[in-house]
Amino acid sequence: MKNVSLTPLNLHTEILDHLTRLSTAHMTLQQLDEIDTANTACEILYEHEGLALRYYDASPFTNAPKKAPIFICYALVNRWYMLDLDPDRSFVQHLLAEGHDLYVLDWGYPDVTDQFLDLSDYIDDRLATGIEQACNHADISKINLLGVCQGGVLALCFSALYPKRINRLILCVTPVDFHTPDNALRALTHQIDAVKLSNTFGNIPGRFLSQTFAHLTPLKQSIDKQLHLISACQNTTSAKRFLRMEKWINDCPDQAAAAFLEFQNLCFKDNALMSNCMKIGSQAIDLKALKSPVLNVFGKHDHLVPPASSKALKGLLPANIDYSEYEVEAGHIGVFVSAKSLKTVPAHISKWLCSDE
Amino acid sequence: VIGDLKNQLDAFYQQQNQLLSDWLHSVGQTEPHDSPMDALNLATKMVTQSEAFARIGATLLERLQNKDGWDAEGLDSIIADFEQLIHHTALDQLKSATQFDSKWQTAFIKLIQQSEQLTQQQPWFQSAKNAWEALLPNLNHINWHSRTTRIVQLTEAYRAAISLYAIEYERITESAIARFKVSISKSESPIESLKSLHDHWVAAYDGAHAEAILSDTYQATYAAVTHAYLDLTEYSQRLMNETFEQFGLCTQSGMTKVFERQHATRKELLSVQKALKEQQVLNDTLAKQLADLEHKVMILATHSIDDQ
Repeated sequence: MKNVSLTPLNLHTEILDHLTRLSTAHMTLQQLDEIDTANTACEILYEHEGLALRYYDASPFTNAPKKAPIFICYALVNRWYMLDLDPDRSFVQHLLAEGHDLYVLDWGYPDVTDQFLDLSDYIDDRLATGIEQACNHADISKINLLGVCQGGVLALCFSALYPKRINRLILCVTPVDFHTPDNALRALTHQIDAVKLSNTFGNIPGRFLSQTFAHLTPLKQSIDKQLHLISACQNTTSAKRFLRMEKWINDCPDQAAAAFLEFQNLCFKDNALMSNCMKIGSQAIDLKALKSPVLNVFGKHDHLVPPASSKALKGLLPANIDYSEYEVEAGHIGVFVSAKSLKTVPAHISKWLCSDE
Repeated sequence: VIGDLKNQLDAFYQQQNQLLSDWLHSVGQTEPHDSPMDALNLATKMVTQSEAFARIGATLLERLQNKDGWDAEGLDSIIADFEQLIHHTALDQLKSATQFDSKWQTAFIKLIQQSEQLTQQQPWFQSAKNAWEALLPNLNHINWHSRTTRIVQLTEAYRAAISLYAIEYERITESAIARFKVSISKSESPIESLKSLHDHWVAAYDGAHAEAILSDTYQATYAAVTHAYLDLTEYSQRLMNETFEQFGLCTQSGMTKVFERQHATRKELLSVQKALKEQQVLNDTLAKQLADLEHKVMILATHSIDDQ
């Protein structure tokens, strides 16, 4: 084994160093107070049945004239504040610094009374209301819509149903083809009876989803993470950064049963966007009805939404539509939180949005 | 060196345990809302994992004693020890992923067995049951035996599914070990640290796991475990529902029906609100048209009077 050149001295030093670092980590953890997230100041424009529309003013972040606002539609799975986890690495703050006011729709935490909320309720009612409120606030008739992951699918459907409301559409790490051979999430779950799941629990427990995601890379999510915690906890700044992410990962809301089942059946089972049989309520989704320019942003190393799944969108759009792709050297979450991505992605989105202004 | 290190490790872990105990004690003294229990849990996990990490290092160090370098046989033996550790960790993960506490399982079966023994061996139990049934006639259709039999069946089905799943995990570990060996032998840069070995192992294991996930057998086994767990959970909920119903209490299924009706009403309300909004827009348009017409009529009337 010529490649293995561990020496007793190196090992001895490494183990002792590890133990010293563990002691430091221990002390750091004891010094930590509450793990705060979503620190960027905002105004709640609208609240109803757990839904909240957050407005972020770009003025404190830039001296340049403001650019067109952006409405962010996050996924129903996990929480929107992944976009504003850490003050030093906030996707929200980077977009604000580019001069865009932001409207972020917070879906809240569905409870037992919400178990019959379906996709039509989310798109036709909640998303539509949020967009209407944002347009009224910004005094515009159409808005730039940015969808994240599953939120991208919702944004896509909304844009097809109400093309007049959309100025430009940005999809980030959005799955379109759910049947690509490298879709591990589908592979892991497609034999599970979603109806049985819903009959047992009612709303689908968030912890069930968190565990399913963690199950895709079991060692990275367990041993590796716990060991990495020691490196992260060498000072309070990096410890907080690490724990903010942990807080977000474990903050997975329960999923409204009806919407979950619908999404499972339409997307994971029937691959409805690809087979042109997507329906929201009684309305068919025709992606050929899209009129606004589309920017498709995806992570090259995304293990949850493989790039091929996002890139499939191109073949479904009208031939004459203004369509661009932007591949980011990152994974699913890295697109929004890695220091490298934050230097390029918000600036690219802003540049694309302003390309015709 | 090795003797020193082992002593240092033992001393260190004693110190860590003491620190954790002190911390736990101090948490107990504070108000509940101030309790940094999450941080404490993290520290515990961190120390446990570090202990495994450092002990593997100490084992490696011991094996390196009196050796000039690494041979394949020595490495195989180290990897075998490592495999044992990983196997336990994987099973812990498995238990956590399936959200099932085996202690509960054992306790439940024990309870059922005891109740069966009571039914069969203790005449007073049967009398008590008869008395209850006379007092509450609705209870008389409770079939204790069929219920316990069903729970035992479901528990056994779950256990069988877990056993098959554990076989899949063993396959993954075997595949991961093979990948690990290839990975370290083909590594472009020399492996000079325990951390580097660890990184190779994590990549090898998660790679083997990702490959397994794409196989039909794994998917079917994973689904079978999930379904067995759901069956058990669903049955225990059904029992609870039946009991609630017998005592005239609101059941989960009853509440679900209420939520379904509430949702339908809510949809209807939204639809009415939408229609009203559209009607309002139409009304406004018509009102504007009417105002325009009235204005035109007024002008015409004025012109007509002027003409006359």
